This record gives sequence, C-alpha cells and structure tokens, in this order.
Amino acid sequence: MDCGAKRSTATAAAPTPAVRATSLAVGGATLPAGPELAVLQSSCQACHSFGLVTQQRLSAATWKAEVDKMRRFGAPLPKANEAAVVAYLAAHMGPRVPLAAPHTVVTAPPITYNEAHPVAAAHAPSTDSSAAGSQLYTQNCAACHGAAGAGAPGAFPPLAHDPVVTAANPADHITIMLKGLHGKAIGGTSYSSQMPSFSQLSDNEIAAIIDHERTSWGNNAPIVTPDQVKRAR
Amino acid sequence: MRTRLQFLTALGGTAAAGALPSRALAAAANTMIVVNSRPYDYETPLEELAPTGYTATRTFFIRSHMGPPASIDVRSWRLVVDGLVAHPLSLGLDDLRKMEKVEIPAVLQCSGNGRYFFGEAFATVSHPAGAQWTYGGVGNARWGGVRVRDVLARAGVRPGARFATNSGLDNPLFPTTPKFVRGIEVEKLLDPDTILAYEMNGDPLPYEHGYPARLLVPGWAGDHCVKWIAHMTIAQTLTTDFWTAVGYRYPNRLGPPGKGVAPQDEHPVTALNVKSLITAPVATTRLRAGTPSTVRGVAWSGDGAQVTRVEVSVDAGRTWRDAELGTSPGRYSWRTFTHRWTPAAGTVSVLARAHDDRGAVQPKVSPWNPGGYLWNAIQRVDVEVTRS
Repeated sequence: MDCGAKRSTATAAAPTPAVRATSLAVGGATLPAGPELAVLQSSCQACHSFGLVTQQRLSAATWKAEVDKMRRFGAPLPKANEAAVVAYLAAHMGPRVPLAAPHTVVTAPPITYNEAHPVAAAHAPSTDSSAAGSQLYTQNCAACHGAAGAGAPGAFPPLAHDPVVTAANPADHITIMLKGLHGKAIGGTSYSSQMPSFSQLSDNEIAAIIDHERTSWGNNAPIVTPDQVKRAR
Repeated sequence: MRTRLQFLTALGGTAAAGALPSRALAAAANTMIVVNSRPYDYETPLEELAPTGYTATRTFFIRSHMGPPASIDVRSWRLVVDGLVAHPLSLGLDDLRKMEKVEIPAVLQCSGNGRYFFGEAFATVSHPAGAQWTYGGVGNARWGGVRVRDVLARAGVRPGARFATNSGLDNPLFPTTPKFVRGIEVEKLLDPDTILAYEMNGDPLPYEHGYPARLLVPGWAGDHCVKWIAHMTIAQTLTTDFWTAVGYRYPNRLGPPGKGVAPQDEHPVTALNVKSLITAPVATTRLRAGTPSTVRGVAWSGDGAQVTRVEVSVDAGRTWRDAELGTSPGRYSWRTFTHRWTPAAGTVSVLARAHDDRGAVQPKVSPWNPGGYLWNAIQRVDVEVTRS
C-alpha cells in the first residue's frame, strides 16, 4: 500500500489528528462530534483520506449504497453501526448542505524518474535519517496511527506508549512492520482493521520509521539499525 | 477561505495591483489544487494548464484509485499480452524501446473532471458521488511510445477476439477491494493513434503518471489509459471486473437528476466531448478599465473531432465574438484561443463556447448522470475590473 500523503506548504507545524477533532468543519457544513463521527474516522482512512468522504453530498439512499460498497471493499465499519452512520452522513452531508469547491493549493508533489534506479521506490529516502523517519511516518503511517501517534478507537492502535513500540527488545516491532498485523488485542482493546505489511519499503526506510516511533510522543525506547531489519526478513 | 491571490502572497509571490503578470505566475509555478490528498487526486490550476500550449509534467493532474505501487523493479517489469493470441508476449521496457516509436500530442482528461459542477447545477438532488473535480482534471502532453497495433500484430490477435482486459501494477490494500481492471474494444487498440506510452513531454514517464508504461487512448476518457500497465488479455467478451462492469458507465437513457441507474442500463464512458477552459483571466485576476487585455484558453473535443470555432463573451453571454484559434499540433491536442478586449470598470463575466466539426457545441449545463461524467458546460469567470 502506498499512502502517498503529501504535506501542504500552507499547513501548520503539527496537524491535529483527525480522529481527535471534536467536530469537523467541512466546506460550509459542520460534522458534530459523537460516536458516528468516531466510527467514520476510524473506518474510512485505511485506503483514502477522509476528505473524499466529506466532499460528497448524497441522498440517504445513495449514502447507504456507498457505505455498503465500501464495506464490501473491506472498510472495517461494523454492521451494527451502519444504520446510524448512514443517517449521520445523510443528515450532515446531504445535497442541501453547502459544498465548497476544492481550494487547498499546495506545491506540486515532486515527480520521480526511475531510469537511474533499477529498483524504484515511490519516495526517495533522504540521507538525514531523522528527517526521513518523520517524513516516511507521515507518508506511510500517520493516516491510520495519527500524526501524534494517537491512533483511532477500535480501528488503529495508538503508538504513543504502545507496549510493542516501547519494548526494550524491538523484534516484534520489526516483525509487525514486515508482516503486518491483524486480530490482536492490544492493551485490552481489540482492533478491527488489518495493518498491511510494509516489506516493500527498504531496510533503511523501515528502520527510520521504527526509530521515529520509538523516539516520539513521549516514547523513548532503543532504536534499530537497517541491518536488524534486513536480518529479520 | 483564502483566495489564491492571498495564498500566493503568503508564498512570497508578487501580487500586482493590475492583472497578474506572467512573472508572478512563475513565482506561483508548481502549484496544484487538492481534490483528495490520498491517493493523489490533484488538479491543475487554470493558470498552469497551458503555459506553452502543453501542460508541464510537474503540474499535470494526478489521479488513481489505488495510488502508485510501492516500488517497481523495471528490470523485471513485463507487459504480458496473452489470451486469444497466436503468440503470447512478455515485453520488457527495452523491447518496447526497440519498436518503432511515435509521439502523439493528446489531451488526457479524467471522465469525472467537472463533477463538482453537477452538484452546483443540480443542488437539491443527490450530487454524483466521487472525487469532486472542478476544472483541472485535464492536461495536454506529448506522449511517446509504441503503437498498440504493432504489439498486437506481433502477438497475432485470433479471430473472434473483440476485447482486451488491461491491468497494472497498482493493487488495492484489502483483498476484497476490486483491482483496477479495465476492458476496451480491440478495435480501439488497433487504432494507429492508440499507444503504450513510456514518455511524457519528452522525458521518461514519471512514476506517478504510470512508469514504466501506460496505455494512452487519445480522444477517450482517462480511465481507459491504464497506468503501470502489466497485463493485456485478449478475449471474446468484455471483462466483468468491477471498474468496467459497474464503474465508469453512462446511462443509456438519461433519467431524472438524482436517481441512480443500474449498470446493465449503462454503457462504458468512451469518447470525450467538446469543451473549452478559460486560462486567463481567472477569478483573482485584477484588470484595469481601459487597459487592453486578452482572454486566453484552450479547446478540444473527443474521438478525433476537431474544434472549429470558439466564441467568447465578456458580457455574461449577451453577445459573443469569435476568438482567434491557435494552430493544432495534432488532432487529439487541444487548440489555444485568444480574444482581445478592453474592459470597462465593474464585475465582468467572461464565457467561452467551443464548437466541433461534428456539430457539437458546449451546453449551458451538461446532462446529470449518476457518475458525474463528461461535464462540458460553458465555463464562466467573474472578474473585477478596477477604475483606471
């Protein structure tokens, strides 16, 4: 999976994780806080950003059809929540809610040419590992685990103070990056989503991400080397 | 909401008191508008669409369902051509480069470009679902590569084969999300202008635009132009994969706005339609009363139809004048148009209306359809003209 999240040159230093918002302002409308918003924020962002949801203005019937399609596609939206979520979507993102045209202007993302690199990566890692780790985390992990490592209730575990991320032995941390994870309860909470494998990233990139997680948000745990990642494959 | 001018000023661009001069555009170069941030659905600002007649690769609109594959080993990449062929092929990039190369200037447009405007025009009914593109899900580039016809000649298409099923290296995250698989008539692939492009504007096809090769079907909607293409299977029937059997379809009979249509009552979107875009002035341009100015834009049609006339109005559509048309580098490229005028003070509404050689003309409103495809209505730009 390539998240491809890009930074806007106009954003503030640390964007608030979407799952922490008490309500969301969306193109002229307000999405009130509550269980439906929390379910949406944790069910919809594995594959695409939340903005793709909030720019729709659909009837109730069309929202139901879209939510059904998304669940068939694998969105981890529990069946028990579906009716309430569809009602919420229709109420707050129905046709009569004002909609603003897309207007966020950003620097065009760098386009990459790969003729010189036989094994082409989607994003060339920088030589500065701390900058690379933060950037790689933003691009690959933050959509689910949050810019501040806070995760999303029931869907994506937090990484701040997480037992695997803060363990003295980083072996499990490396294994999860390489193989993904599903169906495990963490800290007494079971998570519905499936974390994909990131084995397509290089040893350098995985080590940089792991090190970023282990030294951010109050975490202060031993870091890893690319060679440790390589030996774990 | 910050206006584009405020954003550019914040970036350090020069904000002129009058019309935005080209130097200030250079300061604002390399910007795009975010329709959706992940996977990229980035559109090109109007000012950046055609600085040279072509759209710069750096600011060409980017879109896909799944995002680029995480990594590509070009040494092991192959385009596999199989199915109803006498000689299945497995072609590497070097194999394609050894074949006769052509360059086709062509417009590439997302079939959903303009989808936002259906919601504006039909505000009280369900808006078409999907990425809410406005103007910039389109670009014009020089596409370099090999004719699909030449590849299929090498493979030897068997009698009775009518369709190809095309897919690329991009994969969905979840196993139950349908892979982006697109079906197309073999007849269209045999058109001499349908190519496998490995170059864009003279450079290798960038990663984000489908490296190492993509299908390019000039005059047809962008969803046929499969990126990171890896597999072309020739078959008797059209694929039943989701993104062809359910996605990218247009009603056989147009119904009331807001009402869904069953896929079996629809047909695949194919040809683009006649359309124009005004690239100057834009909404934030400041014009001076009494100072001569030029309306600029681009116009194109689909399926090989040629734009023969573009009319411009600077009085909200009350009167129209024929614009001057630029030369066309190729039948699938867009043409530029210009119209000189001297504005009077106040708010002025500028419109452009293109005609093609098959008798089509841009409508005031395009027909509502559940997918929000093929919006081609006349664009309107409202501009402030200050007293001199």
